[in-house]
Amino acid sequence: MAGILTKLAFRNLWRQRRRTILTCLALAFGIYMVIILDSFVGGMTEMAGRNIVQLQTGDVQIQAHAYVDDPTDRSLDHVFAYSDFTDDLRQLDQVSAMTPRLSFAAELHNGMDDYHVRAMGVDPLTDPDVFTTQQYLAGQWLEPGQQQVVVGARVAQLLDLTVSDYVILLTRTANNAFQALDLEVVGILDTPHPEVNLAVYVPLDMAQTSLGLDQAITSLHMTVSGSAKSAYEAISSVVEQQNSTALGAYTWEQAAEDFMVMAQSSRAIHSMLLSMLILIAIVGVVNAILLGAMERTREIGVLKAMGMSEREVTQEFVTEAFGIGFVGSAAGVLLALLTNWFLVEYGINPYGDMDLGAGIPLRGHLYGVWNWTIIAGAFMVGILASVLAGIVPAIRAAGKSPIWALRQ
Amino acid sequence: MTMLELSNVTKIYAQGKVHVTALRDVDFRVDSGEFLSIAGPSGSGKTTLLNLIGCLDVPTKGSIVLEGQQLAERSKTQLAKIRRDHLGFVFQSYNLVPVLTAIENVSLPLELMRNMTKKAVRERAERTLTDVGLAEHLHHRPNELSGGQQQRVAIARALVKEPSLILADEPTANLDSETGEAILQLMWT
Repeated sequence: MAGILTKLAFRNLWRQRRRTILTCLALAFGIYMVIILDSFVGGMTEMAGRNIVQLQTGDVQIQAHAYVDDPTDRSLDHVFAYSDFTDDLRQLDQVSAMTPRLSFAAELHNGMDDYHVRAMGVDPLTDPDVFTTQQYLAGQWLEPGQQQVVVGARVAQLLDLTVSDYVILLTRTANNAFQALDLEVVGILDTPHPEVNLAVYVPLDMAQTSLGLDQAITSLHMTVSGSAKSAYEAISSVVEQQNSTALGAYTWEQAAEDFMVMAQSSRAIHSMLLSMLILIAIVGVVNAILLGAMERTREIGVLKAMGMSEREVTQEFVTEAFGIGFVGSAAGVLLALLTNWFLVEYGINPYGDMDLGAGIPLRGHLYGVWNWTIIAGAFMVGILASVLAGIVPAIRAAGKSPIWALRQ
Repeated sequence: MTMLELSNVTKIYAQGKVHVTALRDVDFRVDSGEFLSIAGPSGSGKTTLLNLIGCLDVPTKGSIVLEGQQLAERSKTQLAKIRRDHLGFVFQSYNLVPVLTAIENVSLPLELMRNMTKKAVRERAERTLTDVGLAEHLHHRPNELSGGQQQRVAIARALVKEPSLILADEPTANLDSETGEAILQLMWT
């Protein structure tokens, strides 16, 4: 019995192939968009997360709560001596590398123009253990104690700087006195993180001396191994042992809260896209089944006259809805798999060298990700929505009186 | 043996506030093996009567007993089951399922009955189509057959399940006289 109903359903779909193909294409397009946009957003989130960890925060960082609460705070009011922690942290198996940083506000002059920058004192020897900054470096990396600066590509572009140029970094010391540092540009950083490209890097010891901060830093960054959660807990307990209420350990997600909020909002986009997909399926399938039932009214009458029950007629139309859902979803998934393979392997560069802005720590080439849950979910939802959408028009079609139907 | 018995069957259609009596107090009996023609002018209620006997409609009044089963007060599903198991229909305009071939159209009533294997269904359908002279057209779709051939398929479809009663509503009306004669001959045999 199921055999003949399936045969009838699929032959009827083929009979109205133009309508069937258009409905399937609409559904396939919906599925395709859901999968590709998810891959795109997933890729962006993953890359942005990686950029934050590798170029900005490390896996876990120790920092004053005040800096995390207000990321625009560039004051030197909440510095701390990292030597208090280093011995305890080194004893933790989970901490595989650590490096201090000193962030401060400055103005960079090239003799003609100036630009407000975020300056960062970094330990030239240990910074590469935690951050991958050097991978994006043109020129040389910093040397301890030297009057050197590595500038972000955007800053270099704005001030027309090249390697071996000299610049003046104007800042204020911890005592609020002006301090002008005469520095040689030894390298230019062109990273996929726009914020890094807007910063300048100087040797930590030179910065500390110049700012009148003996051994003080604004953050201590760590790379951890094993479970991130247990590492975070262990580091937190080291901070607590120091009885320092102003400081805290932060995972990279906590440190980059704004970004995480943005990443969370991508879930809302998923829901919206999924709703659109369901709507496409419902409209397309309802239209196809209603039209099919209208055109085949007499056939329905004949089938009922031969003894087919209303349930069986309903089943036949629901099978048609399933057919549309299956073919549309499969086509959408197949096309999406092909496109996504390209996105994952080769990526695209939709914005050229433009920064995405809006605090998105991402620039340049974007890659997709494989999200099998969404791929399988979109396929299932496409079929399920089609079948559900087909039920009401199918029941309507099956409920027609055979006498009335035969008269059409 | 009485196969069909109608007593005081009346059918009144309500068209808005107007009530049209299509049949009034019809009584008759049909025995097994009997070949019965109902003749009458257009609008005299022939099709209404066939619809009532064919369980496609229910009488306003009176009783219809088919093979000892009272048809009144049956649910839609029960009526569908009676149509499936006991009745065969031949329509004036053939009404074959266009997406099925001749043999698939003839197999359809047997598949709906669900009591035969695929092989048995196919063999029976093939034999019936051969009996009506369409052995060469088993795999033709209705649009590839002439009117007479389509009506033969329709007859084969009605005959294939060996129903208790075959109801034919003007089966030759759309055919030329020669083909119509052949169809009637076929139904007699």
